[in-house]
Amino acid sequence: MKQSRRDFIKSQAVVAAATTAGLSLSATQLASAKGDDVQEDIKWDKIPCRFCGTGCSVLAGTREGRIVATQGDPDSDVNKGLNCIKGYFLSKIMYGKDRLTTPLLRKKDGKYSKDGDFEEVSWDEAFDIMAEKWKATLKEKGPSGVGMFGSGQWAIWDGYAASKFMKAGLRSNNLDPNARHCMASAVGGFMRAFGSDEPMGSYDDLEHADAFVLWGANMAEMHPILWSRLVDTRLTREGAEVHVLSTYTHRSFELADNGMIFEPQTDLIIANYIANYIIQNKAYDKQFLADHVNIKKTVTDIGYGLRPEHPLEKKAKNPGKGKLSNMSFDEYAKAVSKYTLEYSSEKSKVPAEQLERLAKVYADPKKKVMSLWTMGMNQHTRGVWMNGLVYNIHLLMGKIAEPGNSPFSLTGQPSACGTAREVGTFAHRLPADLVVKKASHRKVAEKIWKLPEGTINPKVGYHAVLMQRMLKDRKMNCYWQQCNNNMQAGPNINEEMLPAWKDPANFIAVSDPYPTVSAISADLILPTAMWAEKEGAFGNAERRTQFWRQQVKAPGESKSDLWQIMEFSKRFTVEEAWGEELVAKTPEHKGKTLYQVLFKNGQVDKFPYKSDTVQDEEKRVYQNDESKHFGFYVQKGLFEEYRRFQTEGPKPGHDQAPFDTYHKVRGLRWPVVEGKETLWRYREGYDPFVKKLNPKVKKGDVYFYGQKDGKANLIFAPYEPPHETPNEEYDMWLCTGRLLEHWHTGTMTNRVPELHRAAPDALVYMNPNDAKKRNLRNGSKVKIISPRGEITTRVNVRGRNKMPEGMVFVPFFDARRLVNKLIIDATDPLSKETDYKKCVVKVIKA
Amino acid sequence: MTICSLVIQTKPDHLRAVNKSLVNMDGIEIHTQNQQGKLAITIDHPSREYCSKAMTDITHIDGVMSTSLIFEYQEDQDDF
Repeated sequence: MKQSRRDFIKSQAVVAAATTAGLSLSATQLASAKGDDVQEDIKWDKIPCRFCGTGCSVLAGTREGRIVATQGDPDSDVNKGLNCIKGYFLSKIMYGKDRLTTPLLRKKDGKYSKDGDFEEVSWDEAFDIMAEKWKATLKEKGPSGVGMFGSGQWAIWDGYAASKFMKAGLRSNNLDPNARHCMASAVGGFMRAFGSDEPMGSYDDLEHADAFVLWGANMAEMHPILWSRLVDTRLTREGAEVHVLSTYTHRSFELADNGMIFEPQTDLIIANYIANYIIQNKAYDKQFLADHVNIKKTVTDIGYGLRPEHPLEKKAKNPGKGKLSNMSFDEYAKAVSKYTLEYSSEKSKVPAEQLERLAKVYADPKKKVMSLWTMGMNQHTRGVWMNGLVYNIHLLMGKIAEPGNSPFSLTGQPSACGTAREVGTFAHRLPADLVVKKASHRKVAEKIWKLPEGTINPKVGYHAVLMQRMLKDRKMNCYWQQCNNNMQAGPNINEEMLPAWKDPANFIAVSDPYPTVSAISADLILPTAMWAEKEGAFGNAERRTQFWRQQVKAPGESKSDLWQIMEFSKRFTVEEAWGEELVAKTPEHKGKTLYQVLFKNGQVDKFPYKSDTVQDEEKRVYQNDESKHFGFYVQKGLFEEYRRFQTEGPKPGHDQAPFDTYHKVRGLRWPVVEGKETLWRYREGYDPFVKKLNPKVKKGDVYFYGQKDGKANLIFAPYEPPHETPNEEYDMWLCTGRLLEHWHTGTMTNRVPELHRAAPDALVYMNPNDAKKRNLRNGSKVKIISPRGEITTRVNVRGRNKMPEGMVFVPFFDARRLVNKLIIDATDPLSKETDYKKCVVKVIKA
Repeated sequence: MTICSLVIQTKPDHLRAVNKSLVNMDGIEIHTQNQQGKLAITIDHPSREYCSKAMTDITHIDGVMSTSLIFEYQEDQDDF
């Protein structure tokens, strides 16, 4: 008898689950999954997940031009067949009812008008008005008058094209990604300590470590797949233990052998205490320090990244300064000696025996330790310092760059590394760790991009928070936002972003697939093709680059970010963008458009696209809408040009494989040399660059080749107080972040009806005693008020996040309650990343 | 029609209690498990909303350390 389709699909689901988990099934269960008489016409293909920075590979099942099923990819080393429950919604994020399908412009009486209503327009009309505004601003204010705000969710070539368009095309470094809000402090930490961005280790450390320390990361909810790997190790490896540090109790505490709640900002004290413990007990690795480490200290009293006229900035001695100076080991030992167990326990409010237990794990030479962190450490007004303090502990012990010994910075977005960081979309960067302020770096970029000397602007552009201040101050008048929802994510919008966008002097364009808070606050909305609707590539937190093919078509007139950038570049001649003087240096550019110079330049357009489709080795056919439109294989041309930065630039160890390779594999971790990926950087035997750059290296030894002398910097930084502390009026801390079900501002996850219904409102999580004191109960309606704004919501005292007294948590996915109104625009003065984890509020009955 | 399969990792000493909670839930079948606390289950239910909520509820059962989705198939799309 034929089995039903339901039974068949179900038995396939069962087999996939059992196989993935290594569980056995009966012969009948196995046999029923094999009936091919009911084979569906579903086409399966690999694609990395669209959500967090883990980079799980998913098999997407497409039928009749629509994704109808997904499965964890069993061939992926990252997720080994698993997906987290957000994967359930992956196939639906593109099909929300309110998907935008045509450009929309604010108009009145048939013309663009800031106070007009949105009307449908053609792409031509959209770009006409946008180009008119941009050109007028360029003429009046020069390149600093325009800016673009991109994303760690951009595909690699979206970001690369944006970088090239802004930095080479418009000669403006006012390009920054939303990764500024999440990863910038990690970048700062890496560059200062190692001279090269991104982790030395890989996810393989999760199976090699004896102890895991979470420094401000709720992996159980935010990185569930990595968490499941960590859980496996904890439950199966003898002696394995988990330490969790946070300012409130969350789901990850359920597995914790040592769960610690600390007072905000005192992580600086805890990290220095651990270093002090290691030194006091003479547990440090003398040889490692002598061979591989320079000891430095950083300038202190550096302010809080606020506007210069803010009293806190005026009071600071060295606002924004990050200069390092040498320090002897004895001086360092003396500097940390203040951080005794008693002092640290008193300040952090973590019981002394728990702090000591944590310190012992790091100090035990036999225990391999993996430290993991995300936003708790990065969204911190001393985030760069804090990243450094954790590296200090690993460097003191030599517990670094080998299996299981791994300080590991996790990322929140699918391509925070691959796009935002690696292709140079930050205001100070160029591709492959190069920076705009160094002449030798600019020269490399100008050579590869075939530009006249002096094209690239040496001045660092406006970062994410500064961009909004500059818009408000009318120093910048044109702003283009792609692939993120900054009006719901950026800080202090009441005082900065909202008035800036509403100012008639400014023209705001937002590219988005949905009418987000950002989109409806803009003047022009450009409808965007989503992830599976284009050929793409992401780079995850372990340096893994993953490609995918276009699976389905974008609806209506929506176009990918890449298409939009390239098409918009056609609107500018080099004379308009560069000025006559620069064009005179290379007469061959005369009269050309930026599109011709940047993209159709004999280099990016050298791979043909003839048959209207791309075919893989198995003769499977895929659409590629950008290549069809422009007439050449756009993604390949851009990627191959970008790769030259990795080998022709002065920063070694960034090599990626050729374009075609990535379509065949489940990603590779760079540096990729002769087809082989690198699991642990800086160690001989794992990283081919070590021997290449230091031929005399001993077998299995490390060489931190990102720094000139091959030594990493251990950087002492003290405790400094936070920018705000609860006071009589605003008597509580506010922390914001994500929830398991929703991703970031909910642009995608809120479009899934059942998910929206399950978690529709951002609640305020509160300690029951704090509620009682205010006469509040579970479910009470409250106002949360900060010096910058207020929101109304309901209280939750029994939720998954258990708050200590004096602190509340409100997630930021809810467009109807913009918690970012409450957040102060205080940033780490070095990384310029906003502190979303602490500001002051009061909570009153509404 | 909505069918999905999941792998659940429990603390081994909570395996029995988690089994009990799961069999009391609608549309859930436990297909196989081991002593280390791993289970393979399916959720088969007409309502997509139910499946989504069930996954979250499972995640929050005492003793469940991680819930991973392996496969999902959804036939009806008329409620978009």
